[in-house]
Order: sequence, then structure tokens, then C-alpha cells
Amino acid sequence: MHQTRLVQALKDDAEFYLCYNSWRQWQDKRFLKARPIPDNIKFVTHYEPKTYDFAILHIDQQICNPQILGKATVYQEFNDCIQDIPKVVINHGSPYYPEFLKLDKMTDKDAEDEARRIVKDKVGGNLMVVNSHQAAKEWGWGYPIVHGYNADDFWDLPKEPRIFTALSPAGLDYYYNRECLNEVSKLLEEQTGQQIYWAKVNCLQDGNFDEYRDFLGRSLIYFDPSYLTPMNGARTEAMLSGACVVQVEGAHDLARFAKNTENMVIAPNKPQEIVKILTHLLEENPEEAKRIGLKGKETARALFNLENYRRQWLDFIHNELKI
Amino acid sequence: MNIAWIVFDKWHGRKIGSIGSSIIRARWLLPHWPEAELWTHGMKADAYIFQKVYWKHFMKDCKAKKILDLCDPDWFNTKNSLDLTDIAHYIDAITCSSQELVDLVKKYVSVPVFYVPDRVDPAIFGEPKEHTGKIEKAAWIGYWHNADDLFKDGVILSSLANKNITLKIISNQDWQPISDYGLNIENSKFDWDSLSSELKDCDILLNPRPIYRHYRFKSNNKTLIAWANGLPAAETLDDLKKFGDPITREKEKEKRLKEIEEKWHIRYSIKEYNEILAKI
Repeated sequence: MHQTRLVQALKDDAEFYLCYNSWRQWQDKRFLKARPIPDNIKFVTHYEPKTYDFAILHIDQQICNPQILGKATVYQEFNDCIQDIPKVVINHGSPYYPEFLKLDKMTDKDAEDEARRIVKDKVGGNLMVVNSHQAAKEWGWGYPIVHGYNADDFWDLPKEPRIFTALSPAGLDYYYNRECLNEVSKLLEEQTGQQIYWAKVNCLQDGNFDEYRDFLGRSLIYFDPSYLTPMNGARTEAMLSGACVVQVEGAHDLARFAKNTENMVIAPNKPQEIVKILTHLLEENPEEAKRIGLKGKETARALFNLENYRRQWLDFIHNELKI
Repeated sequence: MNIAWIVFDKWHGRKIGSIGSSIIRARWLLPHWPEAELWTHGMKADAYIFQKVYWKHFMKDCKAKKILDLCDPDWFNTKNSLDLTDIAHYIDAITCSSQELVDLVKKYVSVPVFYVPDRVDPAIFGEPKEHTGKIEKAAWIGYWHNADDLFKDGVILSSLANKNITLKIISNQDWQPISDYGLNIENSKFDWDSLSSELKDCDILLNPRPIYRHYRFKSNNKTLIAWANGLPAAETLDDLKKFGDPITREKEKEKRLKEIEEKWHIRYSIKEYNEILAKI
């Protein structure tokens, strides 16, 4: 999905070659259904030296874990294989992986430092791009390039009274603040009977893009409990779809684009408080939710569009890669 | 020719050793095969061998020579998503680990299908077992759920119990039958590093080879591993009786080690794959 946006954004500027890997099978039906492959991308089975201007590799903090064989191996092997051109590593995560890195007697900071140390070691002399300004600060280095979308890919449709989230269904619990989501879901159901629709958990199991954007476009509220993820893409898709985003405070770069109760609702990381906010919007003031959703859409279209994304990448390529 | 093996364990992100076929079909051969190596991301090769890896899109876009190496009829199982006739359009040959599998695959594909048996390198197991005394312990190797299937009628278990033979189950999980007929059962965790010593702790390998369901397509690799460790393999209760005394077992050992040298050594597999690649 990350690649899709980049390829879309630079479609008139570059040719893209995607090398097959064993971790993400882009051509598999389930991925094709989730996101169509752009036309201007060519698949290659191997790396051919002296053919490309630069290479882009993707990582997140899970490359610290050698037990996740696929993800860590794909990066390492491509990094070893490609030696004749500059490599840009897009790091989609932030240095929070206590489930694996926080050993006995370690503080949170120790574990974060360990993530920084391992990732720094693995990235080596490659340039690292991160998805938010906050991520650059948290890693201690990296060039922030904030994502952009084709706004027309997302549909603002008549809203159904429901709360939706597309938070990743499993893995990196702390990073995604899944505990909060689970607690909010439980309290909300206990207190109001309302369930939260969670993609791939209790709805949209199929992963079909059209079904996803239709469901998202008809959802009045989008809830994002994560605050350690650098610019959660699903949240931006919700904004582009006119959903009222309820975001847990502290999320990356909020100060740059979010105004509480204007284009987003910023909630404390307290499940009971969040339940109150969601219930208020859903049962007492859906018109307010619609208004916030509309403003959110305007914000997202103005800031997180393909042209802005393209410009950031071209500047980076020109200034840092000198191409 | 530069040959890349894309093996099941690596492609699926499994630990080395967790998938027996990747070890036997590819990893045992690689150290003795200068032209071949394990595939890594981005590498360019003149030929690719897909060991139980059904990577149709890669095969479709890849211009090099391609062999699909099968050890099971994986299209029988819905979870594998293998469209055998379709994938055959994108490869140059299929190799199979049993003649039974070759015969079946040939009915569905137009590309050449070859039998390349599972083979062994006795050197990796060290000195073979020295046999003394009567059979006290028999080994069985396999996934624990297959043990239920193979021993369910109780005939083998009760026979072992009557002969006072301990059964050592070398498996991914401990196994205990519903009724053990008074048989002494030892469970050992399967591990390639300890397999040889676990086997040599026994006097014979018990390897019943049913001809029903998927078992009918299985290779004789467990028998070969037993032979390479100096153990006879009993496929039937008659075999168990036949190998009762140590002199017979010693004779069987010498016979089978010679047979491995002549027929079942990994060098023959390397030669056969090279010949197939030269042909296609």
C-alpha cells in the first residue's frame, strides 16, 4: 500500500520496478483486492546492477526481531544484494517494540534506545525516510516525508451511525495501543450496546478495496487509538472519506494539522472518557460529527494529497540523492 | 550455470529444520553442488528450483529455467492454493520425490516430469550403529498426528509390547496412544542435530508405509535415513521378526550402506537435477 501511493505520486517522474519478495505477494488475489497495482509499475524477479538510479527498501521496528524471519530477511538480503546505487530506507515505524526489546530490568527508554541502536546498525549508511516529523525526532535521525493520497480514491457517502476502525488486527500491541481499543470496545458495548466495527476483526474480512472504501465512506466516526504510529494511513483515508476522526492525543504531528473539535476530535488516552466522547457524537450530536468530518476532509485534501507528497519526494531526491 | 533453490522453509519464513523436505531436497545437496545456492532476495540465476514453493507470478515473469520440485500432492489440500495444471504453464519441468507422485502429476501437465528420489549423505550422520543383542528399542520418526493414524489398529503396538520392545517416538510433539497395550513408549523431540544419536539409541526403525491417502505418495526418506545410520527399517511385523538377531542387522547394515553408495547418495540427485536442467 505504501508503494502504491509513491508510485501514484511519481507516475510522471519515474519508472518503478518492484522486485519480487517472499513477504508481500503483491500479485496475490488478497493484495490485489485490497489495493490495485498502479499501471506504471513493472515487476522484476531479480536485481540487475547498473539499471536503476536508486533503490527503496521498507522497514519498521520489527526488523529488530530476527524471529520475524520474513520481514527482517527481505530487508537484509536486498540491502546486501544492492551495492551499486544509493538506497533509501523508508522506516514506517517508531522505536516502540517493548514486547520484544524490553528485557528484565530494562526501562522503557532502554528498550527504545535498543530499537534505535539496532535500526541504526541495520540502516547503516543508507538514507532513512520516516513518515512524520515526530518519527524523525523519536528515531533521532531520518527525513520526514508525510504521505499523500489521491483524494478521489476515497468516497464520502451518506453516513451510517457507526464507529469504525481499521487498526491493524494483530502484532505490536503497545505500538498500536490495542489495549485501549479493546477496553473502549468493551465499555462501549457494556454501557450502550454499541459495538465498534474493526476491519478484519469483526467486519470486512475479505479485504476488498471497494467494500472497504464504501464501508469507510459510510461510517460517521473513525476511531484511532494509536498515538505512536507515524501518520496512520487509515486515519487519513477516513478523513478523506468525511468520517469524523476521534484520535487519541499525542499522535504524531497533530499540532501541524489537527484542531480539536474543528477537523478532528482529540481524546485523552482514557477509555471511559473516549466512550463518553463517542457516545456523545453518535447519540446526541451526529450533526457535529458530520461537520467535523467535513472539515477533516478539507484538511486532508489540502495537506495529504499526491501533489504535496510528490513535491516532498522530488525535493528529497534532488537535495539528498543529488539526482 | 548458476542455480538458485527457492525452498519452502525460507520462503514461508519458517525456521531451518522445521520443514523436512527443504532439508532433504535442497539443503543437504547445496554444500556439494558448486553451481547451486540458496535463493536470496534480488539474486539473479540461470535456473530456479522451487522446492514446494508455488510462486506463480514470479515463475510467470522469470525468463530463466524453472523447475517445480514436489514432494506431496499439495493440490489435494485446499489451504495450499496450488493449481497444478495452471502453474505448469510457467515452468519447464517438474521433479517429484516418488514415482507414485510422478505418475499422478503426468496425467495433468504437459511439461516433462522426472523422478528425483529423496537421497542421503551418510557422512552427516557419522559412524553407523553397531548392533549387539536382541531388539530392545524401535524408533519411529514423523509428525505426531501421523502416529495416531499409523498405529490406530493396535496391531503393531501390541506386537511390540509382546516382544518387550520399547517404542521411541521421535516427533514434533509427544505422542501417547489411547491404549498402549502395556507398551513402553519414549517420546523424543525431533531435531535434525540429535536425530542420528536418537536413532542409534535404537535397534531398528519402524516405518510402516501405508498405501492409502497421502501416504501413498511419500518417498522412502525415513528408510534411507535409518539405513544411513546403520539401522534396518521394518515396514512390516515380518521385517521386525527378520531383523531380530544382531548378526542379521549387521548384515543388513552393510548391504544398505553399500546400496546408498550405489543408488541413494545425494551426489546422484545433484547429477540428475543437472541433467534435467541441461535438457530443458
